[in-house]
Amino acid sequence: MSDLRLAAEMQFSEELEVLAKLDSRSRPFQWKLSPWAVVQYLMGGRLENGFEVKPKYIGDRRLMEVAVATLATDRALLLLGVPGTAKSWVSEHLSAAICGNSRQVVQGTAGTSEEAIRYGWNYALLLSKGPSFEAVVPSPIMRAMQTGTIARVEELTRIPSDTQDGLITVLSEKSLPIPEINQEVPAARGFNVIATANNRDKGVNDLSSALKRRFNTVVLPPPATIEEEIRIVESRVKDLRKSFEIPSEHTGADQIKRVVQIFRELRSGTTLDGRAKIKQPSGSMSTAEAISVMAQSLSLAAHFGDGPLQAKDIMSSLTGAVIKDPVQDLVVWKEYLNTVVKDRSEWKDLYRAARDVV
Amino acid sequence: MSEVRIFGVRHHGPGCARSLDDALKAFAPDCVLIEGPPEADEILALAKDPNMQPPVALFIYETQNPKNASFYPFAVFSPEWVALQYAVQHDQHVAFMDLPQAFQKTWEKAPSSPVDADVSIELLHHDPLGTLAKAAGFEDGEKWWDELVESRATRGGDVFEAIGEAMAVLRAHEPEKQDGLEIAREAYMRLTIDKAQKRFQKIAVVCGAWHTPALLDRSKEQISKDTAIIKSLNGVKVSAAWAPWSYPKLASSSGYAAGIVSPQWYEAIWTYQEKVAPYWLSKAASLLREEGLEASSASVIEAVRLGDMLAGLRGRSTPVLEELEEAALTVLTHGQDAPLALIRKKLSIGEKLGQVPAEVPTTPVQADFTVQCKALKLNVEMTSIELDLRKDLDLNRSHFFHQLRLIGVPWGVLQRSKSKGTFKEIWFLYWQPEFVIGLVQASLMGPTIAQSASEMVRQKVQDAQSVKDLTFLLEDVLQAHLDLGRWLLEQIQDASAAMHDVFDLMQALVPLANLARYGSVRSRDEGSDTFSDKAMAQHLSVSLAYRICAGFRPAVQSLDDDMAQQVRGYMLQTHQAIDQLQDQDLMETWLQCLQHISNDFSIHGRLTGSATRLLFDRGIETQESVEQKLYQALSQAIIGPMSAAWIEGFLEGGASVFIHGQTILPMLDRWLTHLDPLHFMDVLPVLRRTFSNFEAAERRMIGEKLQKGTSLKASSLTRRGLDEMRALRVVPMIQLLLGQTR
Repeated sequence: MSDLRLAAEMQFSEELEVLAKLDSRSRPFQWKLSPWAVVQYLMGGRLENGFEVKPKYIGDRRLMEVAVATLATDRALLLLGVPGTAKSWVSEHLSAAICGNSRQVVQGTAGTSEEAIRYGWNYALLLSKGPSFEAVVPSPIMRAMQTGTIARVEELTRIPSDTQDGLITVLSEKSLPIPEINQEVPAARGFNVIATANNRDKGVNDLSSALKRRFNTVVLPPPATIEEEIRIVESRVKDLRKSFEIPSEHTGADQIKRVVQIFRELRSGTTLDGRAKIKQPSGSMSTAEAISVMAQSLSLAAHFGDGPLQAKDIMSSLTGAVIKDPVQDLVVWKEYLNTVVKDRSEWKDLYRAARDVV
Repeated sequence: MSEVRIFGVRHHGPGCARSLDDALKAFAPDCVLIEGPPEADEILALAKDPNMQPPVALFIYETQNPKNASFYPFAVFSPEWVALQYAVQHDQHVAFMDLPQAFQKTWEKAPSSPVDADVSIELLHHDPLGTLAKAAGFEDGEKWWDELVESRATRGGDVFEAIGEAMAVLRAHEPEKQDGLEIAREAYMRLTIDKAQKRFQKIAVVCGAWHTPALLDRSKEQISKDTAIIKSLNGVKVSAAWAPWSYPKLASSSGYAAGIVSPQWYEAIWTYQEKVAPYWLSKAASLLREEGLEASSASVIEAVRLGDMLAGLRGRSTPVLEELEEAALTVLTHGQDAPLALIRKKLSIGEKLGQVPAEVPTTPVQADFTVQCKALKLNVEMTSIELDLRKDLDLNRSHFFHQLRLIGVPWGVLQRSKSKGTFKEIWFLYWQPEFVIGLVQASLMGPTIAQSASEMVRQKVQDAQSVKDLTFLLEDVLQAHLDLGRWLLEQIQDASAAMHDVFDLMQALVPLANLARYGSVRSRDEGSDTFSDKAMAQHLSVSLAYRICAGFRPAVQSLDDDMAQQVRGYMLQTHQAIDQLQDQDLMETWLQCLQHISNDFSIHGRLTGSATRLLFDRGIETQESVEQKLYQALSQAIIGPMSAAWIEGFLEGGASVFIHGQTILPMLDRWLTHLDPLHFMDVLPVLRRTFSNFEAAERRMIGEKLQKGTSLKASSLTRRGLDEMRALRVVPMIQLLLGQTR
C-alpha cells in the first residue's frame, strides 16, 4: 500500500478483529465492540489470550471510559483540549472501534458551509429533473445518519456559528429535514457525532449554549507527568520512524527526555524542579510539536548528519518550534538557553549547539 | 451460657452501617456493647430524644482541665450510632465498653514514645478495612465494601464473620508491637463483655474491626490477667456531654484522624441507597443553579444515564461518587472544573450541623450560653445579623458577641463599619462545633460568660507589655460591657507614666480619644458611671497627647522607609484623635510640633510632606509657604528617594485638595511645567504612582480641571487669530439671552 497514512480501522484491523472475537460483553445496537472492549482498544494492554493491544491513548483511563460511556448513552461527544492533546487521534480511534469507519469527517474551517453538515445538491440533476431525493448530495453527517454510524466533526469552533447550529436539529431531532422535497432523513440507530474543538483559542466561534447542551464534554489535558509525556513521544516517534523509513538505528531515546523536558518547562513557565520561573513563548508548546521536533531531528541526523542523533540536529528543529514570533520568542528562547540550559552541566552540548543556531 | 456476637465495623461507613442494621434486627440482642467511653453511659439514653440529631459528638473532658478533651463524633450513617439507635429504640440495654477516658487521659499526659514512625501500622489499626481496600486497589473503603458486600446480591453468608476472619489473619501477621494503651483498651473490653455475659442472653458487641479477634478469648486466665492490668491504672476525674457536631468537622480535611472524605455523600448513600445517583445529580444541578449557572433537568437525566453507564462499564452495580462527579463534569458543566469546584464542598462535604436536646448535661457557662441565646433570640444557624445599638436587645446582643469573642468563642465576626460612631453593627455568624470546647474551658474562669470574660481581661492586663495593649483591652471591655472600665483606666494611667515609647502612646491614644468622644454610644445608662469614665478618659487622653507632643520630634529622626510609612499612619491617627479631644491648647501644641517636623528636612520626606499637608489643610501653611517647601523638597539638590517621599506624603492625604481647593493644583502644575526634561523624567514615576492611588473619578476630575484651566487662557484664544468683527455680531444675541437688552 502506498497511502501516506492509513485510516485507523485499516492500520489496526488485526487488533479490532481479535478484540471482537474475544469480546463477550453486551454491545450497544450497531456497535462492533462492547464499551469495555473499546476502552481496552484505546488504552492497550495484554489480552487474555496473550495478544498485545497497542495503547492509542496514553493518559487517564477514566477519561476514555467517560468518552465511551457518553457514546453508549447516545449522547454526542465533544472533545476539548489545547492543541496537541490527541483530540482528533482519540476521535478517529473511537469511531474506528465503534463502527469500523473513521472517515466520515467534516473538517471545520472558517469556510465550512451548511452543505458540509447537512446536504448539497447535484445541480445538473436538479435542473434536469427538478428537486428530488436523487439530486441530494449527502454530507458525511447525513451518510452517517443513514447508516447508523459515527460522524466526526473536526475543529468545531472554527466553523461559523450559524453553520454550527445546523447540528442542533441533527442532534436533538435525530433526523435531517429536506424541506425542498418535503422529506426527511431519519437517523438510524447507532448514529452519533464526535466533535473536537480547541479550547485555547475558543474565541474563534464559541459554541451556542443550545449546541453545548447537546454535547457531553470531555476535556483532554496535556500529559500529567513528564514520564507519561516521554512515553507518548517515544511511541509516536517509533511509528513515524517506521513510516518515514528513517534508517538510523539510533532511537534517540535519551534525547527524547531532554526535548520533552524543554517543552514542559517552556509550557508551564517554571523549571521542572520548580525553582526558577521562565518566560513562556507565544506558541502552545504541545506534545504534538515535541513529536515533530523529534521526528525532524531524527531524519536530519539520518540523512545529513553522522547517523546517531546529536545535539545540533535537535537544536535546529527545536529552535524553529519555539520561535513562532521572531521578536518576542527569540528573547524568551535566548533567556531560557542562558539561564537554564547553560547551568545544566550535562546539557553542555545542547547549549553549544544552540549558540551556533540562534 | 449467653450468646456473644462480635460485629467488627468501619467507623463512619454507611455500607457497613446498613449491614449492621440488618444483622442486629436478625440477631435481636438484649444487650448492645459499643466501643466508646463508659463515662458516657448515663447520657446514652438521650440518643432516643427526637431532638438529638446527628452529627453529634460525645465530649469527654477532664473535669479540672476541660482543655484535655476527647470527641467521639457520630453521623446518622455511623455503625456505632446505628447500634445505639437499635438499642434505645428497642429498649434494650446499651453500654460503652472501651477503656474509660479517665484512664486514657492519663495516658495522653505521660510522655509519649517518640512519634510512631510507621504511619501505615497506625492506619492499619485505625481503619483496617480501608487499608485492605487500598491493598485491593480501591481508593475508598466504601467502594470496596460496595464491591464485596452490597453488589453481591447473595444475602446469605455472614459478612461480619468474614471480617473477623480477615482481621485474625491480619493480626496474626503483625509483629508484637502493641502499645500499652491498646492492650489496656482490649482488656477492658473483654472484661465488660465478660460482665455482661452474667446478666444478658444475647449480646451484640460493636467495635472497630481491628479489635474483633482480640475479644474472642475470654478464658478465665485471660480475664484475671485483664483485671490485673486495669487495677494497675490511675485515672483522673472526667465528665461527659453531648455536643452538636458538623459535617465539615467530620471530614478528614478538618484534621479529624478518623475523618471521612465526603460526609454528605455518605449520608446520601445511607439515605437513598441505590437511588443515590438521581438525588445526587439533581442536588448538584440545583446548587449550580444557585450559583447562577445553567443546569437543566434534561441535563440531569443525561448525567444520570452517563453515571449508570460508567458504573456498568467499570463493573459496578451503582455509580459511586467518582462516576457521578465525572458525569456532572461532562454533562452539567461542559468539562469545566471551575463551576464544579464551586459546589463540591457543599455537595460532598456538606454543611450540616447537628443538634442536641436542651436538657443534656452541660457546664455552667454552656448553660449560660443557652439561656442567653434564648433571651437574645439567637440560634446557631444564623449566618448574619444587623444590630441597631439604640435598641436594648440589639445592644445586649452586641455585648454578648464581644464577650464570647473574649472567652475564645469567635462566633460573631464584626464587619467594620465605614463611619465611626454609628449605631449600626453587622455581624457575620458562623457556629463551629469546637466552640463547645471554648465554652467548657471558660467554665474554669467563672460561672457565666460575662464573668469568665472579665477574668480573661484581668489576665490579659497582667500580661500586657505596653500602654497600647491596655487601651485595646479598654476597647474590648467597653464593647463587651464588662464592669472593668474604671479599673482599667487606672491601670493605663499608671502604665503610661512609666512609658517612654512615643509610638506606643500614639497608638494608645486613638481608642482612648474614641472613648472620650463616643463612649456614650454603646452604654445604656448615660449620666452615671459612664459619664465619669468619659471624663476620666478625656483627662487621660489629653495628658497622653501632651507626652506625645513632647517626644514626637526626637522619636522620628532617622527612620527607614517602612517605619516612616508606619509612623505617618500614627501621626495621622494622633492628629485625628487630638482633633476629637477638642482641647484648644493641646491642638496648638500639636500643630507647633508638626511645624517643627515640616521645617526639618533631615526627617524622612514622607513625614515632612505629610505634616506640611496637615498644616496646609488647617490653613496654617499658606499657599506661598507650601509652594516654597514644594520647591525645596523637589529641588535638584535632593532629588531622589527623599523628594519622592515628600511628594507622596503630601499628596497621600487625598485628591480632594486638587478638586475643591483652588491653589495646590496650579502650584504643582507650575512646578511640573518648569522642570527641565531630565528632571521631569526623574519625577514622573513618583507622580504617576501617587496619582494612581486616587480614584478613577478623582483623576478624571483633576484632568478636566486642568483642561479647563488652560483653554480659558485668553492668550490661547488670541493666538488663533480671532475675527473680532464676526464675534461682535453674536454679542447682541447673547445679551438678549442673558436678559441684558437695553
